[in-house]
Amino acid sequence: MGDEIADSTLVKKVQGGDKKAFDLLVIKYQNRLVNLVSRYVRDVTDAQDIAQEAFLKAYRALPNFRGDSAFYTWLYRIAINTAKNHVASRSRRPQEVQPIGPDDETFDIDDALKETDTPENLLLTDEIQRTILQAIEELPDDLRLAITLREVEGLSYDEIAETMMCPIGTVRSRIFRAREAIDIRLKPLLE
Amino acid sequence: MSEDKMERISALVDGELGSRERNIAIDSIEVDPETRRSWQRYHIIGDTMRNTLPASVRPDLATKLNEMLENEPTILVPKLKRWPKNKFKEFTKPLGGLAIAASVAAMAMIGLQNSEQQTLNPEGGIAEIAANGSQSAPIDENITSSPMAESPIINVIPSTVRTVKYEPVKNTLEAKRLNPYIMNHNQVNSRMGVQWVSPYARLVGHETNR
Repeated sequence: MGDEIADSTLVKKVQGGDKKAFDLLVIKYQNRLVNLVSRYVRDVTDAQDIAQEAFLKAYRALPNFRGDSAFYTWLYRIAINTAKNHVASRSRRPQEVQPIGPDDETFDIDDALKETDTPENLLLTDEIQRTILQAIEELPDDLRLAITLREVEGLSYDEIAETMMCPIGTVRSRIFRAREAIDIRLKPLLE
Repeated sequence: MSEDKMERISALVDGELGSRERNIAIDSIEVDPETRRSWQRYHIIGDTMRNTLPASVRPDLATKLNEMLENEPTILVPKLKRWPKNKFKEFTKPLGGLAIAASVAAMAMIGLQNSEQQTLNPEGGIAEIAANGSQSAPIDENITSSPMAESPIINVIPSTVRTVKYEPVKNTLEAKRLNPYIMNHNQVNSRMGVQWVSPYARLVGHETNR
């Protein structure tokens, strides 16, 4: 719910002429969208291009977005349609994929090794994953639990506070400190 | 970068900020490239934990898209709603009636501005009503033109000059209970410019013999 409100704020800013607000939405959803589109096109470079095209289409269609659905649900539909059009235009046989909804975005990354993708990018992604997962393992228990409940279980701060029997301010602080601890290890890989 | 600012960014990632803090956080990301990179890394952390990271991360995808958006027109969606044509007519029709009613009321108010102002003593007792800007006229106690002069609750004795005397019934239970109620009503009536009317004296059927 809070996520939708945050997205709604950003969308309204874009609709009010603030292009930079759209950049925040792109950063937030780009990985999820590329991951989603990869289920339709096996080539990750193509998936990235399609995701980029979907974002561009979404930007152009934003004047018509009224907020009847969540922003990501709307973006998701645009991405799927863009991916399908890409597949149709290349006259490939349709991929056999299981029906997926906006929440079902996980798949095994090993399945998506592509010939056309650069080795450096693949290695980088692999290293990013290992670094983050290792940093999480090394977190103090309270920080690890807080960030796991938030990122994996999707609990709100209220719910986490109830689960961990601590104030909401403590939840906010723990999640932040967990992210900071992980970020210290991740930052050098991306600079 | 201040710890408070980064904690706010972290809470923004989770959608757990109030409106004011949310706008502050968004502004800080938009103006500072380093904060923007932190925003990006926080999302990579979450995507990794949820296993939604693509096979190949492209950190520059958003930057490249920004360059493309520079060639796109700026979106400006107007906030005001437009009234449909037939709705406009529906709205203006009663307005005409309201305008007439307002004119009538205004004329009544102009007429009443020359009438006396009424002040009532909420404690009971005799309240003298003075004419507007003039000395109060003598009260003629013998004139009782109100049909409710016989009312056990109050005696309204309008004067032929421009005073009205309110004489509450003394020292009875009913008086203690009802007189302030009637006084308050008359205050309201005076504000509305209603004279010579004590509807509660008419409407409140009070029986003393029970």
